[in-house]
Amino acid sequence: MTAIRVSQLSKSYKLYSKPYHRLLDFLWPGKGTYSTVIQALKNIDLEVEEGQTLAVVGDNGAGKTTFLKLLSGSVIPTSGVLKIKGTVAGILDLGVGFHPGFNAWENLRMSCSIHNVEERKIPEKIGQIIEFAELSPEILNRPISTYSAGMLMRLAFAASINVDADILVIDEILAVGDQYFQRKCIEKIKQIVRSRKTVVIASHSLHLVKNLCEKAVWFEAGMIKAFGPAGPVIDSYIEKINSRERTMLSASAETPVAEKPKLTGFVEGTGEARIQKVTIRDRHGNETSRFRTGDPMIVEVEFEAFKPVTSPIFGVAIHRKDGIYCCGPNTMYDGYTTGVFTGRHVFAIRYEQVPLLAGDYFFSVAIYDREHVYPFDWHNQLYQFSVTTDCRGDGLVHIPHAWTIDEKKIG
Amino acid sequence: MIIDRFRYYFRKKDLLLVFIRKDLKSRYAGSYLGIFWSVLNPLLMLLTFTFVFSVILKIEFHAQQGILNYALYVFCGMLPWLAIQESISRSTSSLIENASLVKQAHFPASILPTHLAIAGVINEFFGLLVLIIAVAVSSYHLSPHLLLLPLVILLQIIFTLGLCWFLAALNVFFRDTVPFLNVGMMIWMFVTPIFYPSSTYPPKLEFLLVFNPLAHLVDIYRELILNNHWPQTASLAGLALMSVAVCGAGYFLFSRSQPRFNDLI
Repeated sequence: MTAIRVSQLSKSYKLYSKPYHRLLDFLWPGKGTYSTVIQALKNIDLEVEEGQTLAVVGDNGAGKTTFLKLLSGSVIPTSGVLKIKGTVAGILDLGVGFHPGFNAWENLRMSCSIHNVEERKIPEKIGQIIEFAELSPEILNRPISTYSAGMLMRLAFAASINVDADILVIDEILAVGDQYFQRKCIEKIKQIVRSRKTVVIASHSLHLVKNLCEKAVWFEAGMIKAFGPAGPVIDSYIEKINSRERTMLSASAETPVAEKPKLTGFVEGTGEARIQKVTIRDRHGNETSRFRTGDPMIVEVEFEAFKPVTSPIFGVAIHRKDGIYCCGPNTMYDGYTTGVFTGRHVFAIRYEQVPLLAGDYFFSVAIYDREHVYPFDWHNQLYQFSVTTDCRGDGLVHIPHAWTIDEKKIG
Repeated sequence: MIIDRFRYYFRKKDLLLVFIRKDLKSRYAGSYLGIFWSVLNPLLMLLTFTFVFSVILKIEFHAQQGILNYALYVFCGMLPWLAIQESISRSTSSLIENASLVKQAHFPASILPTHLAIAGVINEFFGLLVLIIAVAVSSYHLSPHLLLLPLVILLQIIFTLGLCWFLAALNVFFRDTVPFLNVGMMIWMFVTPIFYPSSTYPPKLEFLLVFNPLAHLVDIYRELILNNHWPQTASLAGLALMSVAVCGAGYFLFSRSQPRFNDLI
């Protein structure tokens, strides 16, 4: 059964230069042009089956949120068909649907009533919501205008998953909330997905939604760039982001060191030797930035020494996108003795098996003096690559392992 | 249709009650006397009127004009006026002030002006209580005419609802509604015979009375509470007719423009 059917759906917003133009336009539509039209979504076609999970990805302003708002019914389409089977609950803007002056109880009472929860089931529902949100009774009695974003998020999320809507619409689930609650939300969403409910999630946490969703739609400038199985769609979106980042970085490499903008990383060093080019290759020697857990990986660094440098130390480090330092071997630690270098040279490091789990990572590359005191050149967290995985599990790395479970009692 | 709207409210009366209760509570939130202010407020107003009109100004009206006590006379006219004025002025900005609710899909936005209209009337009950006790105490005997009051108040609610819906929707498109309304309310108050008997109106301007629902309302209040008379049928019919018309117009504008609210708020 089709849960969501959208065809030729468009949404535009009108901007008026004078407030009364809005009234005129409303009273005599089509008479004169009073407004500038902003096209947020243009001719969208897609279908979501009942029980499917749809990831919505794309850059900011591409139309993700407008699409979700259309699904939830909080904005109406300008043209096109939007057919939705069943009721929709969603977390879109934080705090939307809550009255700032009401306390949590009153707001939940209202949410339940709006979502047509049966009158006699409301106390039970509110109990479930409160239990999930894990807010203290003292907080629940305060008007929600006094809540922090995180507290509001807890309440909003708990409410929207508990009102028993047929379709759940979630915009950027991980934007707020502490890590504990984020994890709890993700677990809950996984559970909802397993229960064959229709779920639509817009997120910039691409690896997360890729694992979570069956299908994905990629919006670009108000139109669908790709729609289909989540894996390929999100991979091509990730590739697009990476290539754009590479262009940005290579553009910044032209500028003098002192003026280099500090993007994700930075460049620093005394300059006796300079890193010219860093290439990440796969097992076949092809340049790539996408790996799977367990793949071999080669990082090749071209550098130029402007005067003879003796026994420099070469290092390559890996950071996860959120700043976690994964590893950082260098030639000194590994007991290599390097020679004297002038002019252009290449060094490379080969990882036989990348143990990293899915996520985005950065390479840092450095050339240090022989005492490991100051860098000649240091590109800190400048080269991005991503890892996808077949291994299930949380954490940073996959360590090959085996289990033994003894059925005999001890003692 | 408008009947469905009322049926919806009946089905969702619990939701409506949450809003009304919250509104009544929030009026005196944090004050020591709390809900007692609802009685204390009109009581102090009546005492002030009595002091000013009977002690300082010593205003005397002729008995044939139906005014036995000017303070009570003005107070009786003020009560419905204050209720309507409060509901209207708060409703007008209610959609914009509660954008976070209006923007949510399925939220019945009309509940915002609606609960304010009803809360205004509920708050008026405390004043009516003070008035009726004062009338009884000052030896006017209470009459069976008061039994008609609930019907009149029902018409008042219908009238207020219509105005509240109309202005709340209008203000979304036309933010100048609020300042316009402030001036309009002042003019309306003085055009309505609240501080003076309607019999003092110059005949040329009598249309201002005939087409002013509030003038009928105030007259009927006074007939029932102060004068122990049945109101004129024409007055009652006029009020009923205009209330229903205003309610219909308010409903029409609100439901027509509701789909646009989200883009505009």
